Amino acid sequence: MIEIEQLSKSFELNRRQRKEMGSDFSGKTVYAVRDVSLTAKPGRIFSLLGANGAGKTTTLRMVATMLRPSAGTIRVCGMDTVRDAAAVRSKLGFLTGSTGLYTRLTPVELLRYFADLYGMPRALFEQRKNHYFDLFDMHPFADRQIGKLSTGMKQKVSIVRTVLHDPDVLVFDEPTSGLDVITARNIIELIRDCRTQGKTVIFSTHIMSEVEMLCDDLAIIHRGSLVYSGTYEHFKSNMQTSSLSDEFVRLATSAEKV
Amino acid sequence: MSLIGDSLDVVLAFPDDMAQKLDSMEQATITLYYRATEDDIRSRVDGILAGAQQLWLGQRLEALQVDPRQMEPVVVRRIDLSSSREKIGQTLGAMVPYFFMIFCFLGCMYPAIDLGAGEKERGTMETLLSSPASRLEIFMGKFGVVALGGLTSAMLAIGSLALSIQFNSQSFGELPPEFTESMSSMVQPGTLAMLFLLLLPLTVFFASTLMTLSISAQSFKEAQSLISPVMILVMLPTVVAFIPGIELTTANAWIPIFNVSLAARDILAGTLTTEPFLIAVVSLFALALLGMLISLRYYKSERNVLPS
Repeated sequence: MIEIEQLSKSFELNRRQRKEMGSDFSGKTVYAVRDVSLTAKPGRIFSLLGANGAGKTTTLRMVATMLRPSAGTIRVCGMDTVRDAAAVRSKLGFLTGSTGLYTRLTPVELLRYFADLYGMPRALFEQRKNHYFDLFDMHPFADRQIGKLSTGMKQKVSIVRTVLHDPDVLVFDEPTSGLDVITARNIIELIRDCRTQGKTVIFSTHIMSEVEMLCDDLAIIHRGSLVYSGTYEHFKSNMQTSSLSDEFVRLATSAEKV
Repeated sequence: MSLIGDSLDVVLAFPDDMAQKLDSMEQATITLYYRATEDDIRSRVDGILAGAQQLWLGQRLEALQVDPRQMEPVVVRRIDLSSSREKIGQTLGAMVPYFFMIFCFLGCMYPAIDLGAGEKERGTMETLLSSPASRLEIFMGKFGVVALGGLTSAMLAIGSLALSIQFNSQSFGELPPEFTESMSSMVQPGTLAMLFLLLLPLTVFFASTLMTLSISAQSFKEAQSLISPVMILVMLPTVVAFIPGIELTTANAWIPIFNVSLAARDILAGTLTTEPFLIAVVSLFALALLGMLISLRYYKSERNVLPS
């Protein structure tokens, strides 16, 4: 479970950044996220929708304890992300579209490294590693350097790295960004599997087809503020336009006017 | 005109009555035309003229029946009391810190760039930060690798120098024996331990400076362009140790890097005094600690550690 309450994140700007903001800007700080509240429940997939720069990545980075909220609270599995940051991270799997891997390591070495960071016993690691290597057919390239693998193979390694420690909560930040259709399909399958296993899943995207395929609950963020939060069924039934994309644009535009 | 036209390097003009003036013990004037831009040629001619001057002076003293020794009331007898180790240490000892500092800096540089900006650029930093390891633990891990890289590199440089002197003395066959003896006396355990005492905080200081710069950069290339000028800043005080006459004092022992160069030179020459050495070591450890704290603060900053 992820419970976000009145979450805000502001960044202090240096002189150069203030200059870049233009002559209309007079403050010293800028809000990336402002007063966002939402709840992602176990066994359901929560989609965070927004244009580039809307505040999705900042929100998810705060959930993953990489950033500290300026105001508000985030609770993951009942634990506060500021006070119990390490415990939260141990319950969390985090994957982004730009997630990198150590290219000089082999998949086995990389997974062993992360298993050590998560404090997994050797026997449990072997068991889970073999399970995922069988599932994703990774044995043929298990001992090859990651730098020499194809994008699809690398993505499989990333997926296993994310779920290896059996996290209760999974955070995906634009996970299919820049991937081909087949590789993106692996991620979609992973997200579905997580729902089946009763895990809490939150993922950000601006690809509407993914939302239609996966989402149970959704929130739309525009310029750091929440524009909509509710179930996908409720959203669909109250749409004033014919498609999800059009409705997203309509909501963003009306938020702009406000 | 030939001189102006570049066909001659120098011109010596002798007066027509040169021989008569020399015979009559008068002073003759020789004019030397030269270019200041070709000073080496002028100094060569000056040397030849000085030799001729001595010859003519000797002839005149002989003609006047004066003993040349009477023209030199005092003779200074110079006795060099410095050991061959001191002499060799002062020259070669200045080069050793230069080399080990370069190796130390380079040994830190590439791991620092890779583990800071490199991780951000490759997208592995975010993955690492999402693990249960605390930011302090991750920083200390990275810092350890960077410092160890610099220390290993510098120690290999010193160690290989020491080993080549100890075990390949035959290959120095053409060098005077006092040279090899002096070099061997420089690589005693005590000398190496004192060098290590300087090297350790220096490495931590280099590692913290480079980590700070690397963390504030967004890419490998940006980090390289930030670090390159620092290398020049580090090397400049090191070169000062080559200048003769500059000693390690209680005042300049506080200046970082500069103090390492001078202290290392004095250690190798065997002329080190305790007080400035202790000041140098203490100030280096303090600087290393300060650098480490600043670097950690940078690493903990959200703005620096995550890719923008």
